[in-house]
Amino acid sequence: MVLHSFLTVFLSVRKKGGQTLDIRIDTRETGDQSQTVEVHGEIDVYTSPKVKEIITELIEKGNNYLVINLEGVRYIDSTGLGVLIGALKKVREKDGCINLVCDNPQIKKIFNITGLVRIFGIYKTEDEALKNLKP
Amino acid sequence: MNYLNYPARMEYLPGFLDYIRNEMIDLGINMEIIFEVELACEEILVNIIKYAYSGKVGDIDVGVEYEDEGEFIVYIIDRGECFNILQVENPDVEASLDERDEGGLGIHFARSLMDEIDYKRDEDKNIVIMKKRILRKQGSGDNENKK
Repeated sequence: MVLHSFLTVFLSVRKKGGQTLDIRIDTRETGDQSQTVEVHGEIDVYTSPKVKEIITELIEKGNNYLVINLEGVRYIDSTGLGVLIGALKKVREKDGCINLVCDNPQIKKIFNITGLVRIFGIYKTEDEALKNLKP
Repeated sequence: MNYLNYPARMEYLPGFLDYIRNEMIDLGINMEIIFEVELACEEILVNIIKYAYSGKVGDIDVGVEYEDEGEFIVYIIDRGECFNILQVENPDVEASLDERDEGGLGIHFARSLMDEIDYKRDEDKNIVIMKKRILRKQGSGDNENKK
């Protein structure tokens, strides 16, 4: 029997518009060396270090195939993109792969203007992203 | 024009962004434009906070202006080292993964998301002027982005 591990991390990082801004990161095992990372909230200069820490830990544990689901992400800045680029470099060194799930036109525009649409596999659904996890 | 003045420190970044966002909300600008202006301003502000004062104490002024022609303008002023944002080369967006760095996209973001960015050095001040058109059809007289 395969035990699938789940981990949810909540992080409250700052006040924005008078409210605490929370980010939630869910990780779940989807295969032998693969994990899905689901991010909810904003990936910015404040939250990026935590997102980086969690993804780096997964990669260091041998998860070279990641699906990063950005459907719950409302905002991503250049620091957040840097985290994704760094993670992709790490898994590629081990012949791994990172696919993204994103159907939000605003977030997709960010990937377009930076040319990252040609670097990452970006899919509309998690199922598609998982099916296309290839070296 | 009134300016919001805070120290150039990360804990004040949300205050600057709240100010810019609230001004845009008050003008009835749609959320898509607010997202882009906020992101562009964040990138410029973070750059100033990290590099303008080289670890010394400094401050930032932020002012906003809306022109009847349909332009939302953000002025970001610091008194740090002279830094002409217009002279920063754009990263190669066609580059392969191996050729890419994790950083260096911020100013490119700002340039891409705003319609126009200008820079002036006025005595000891770096002045970044960021413009975003909020009319879909120039000269139509109808602000389609207003609620």
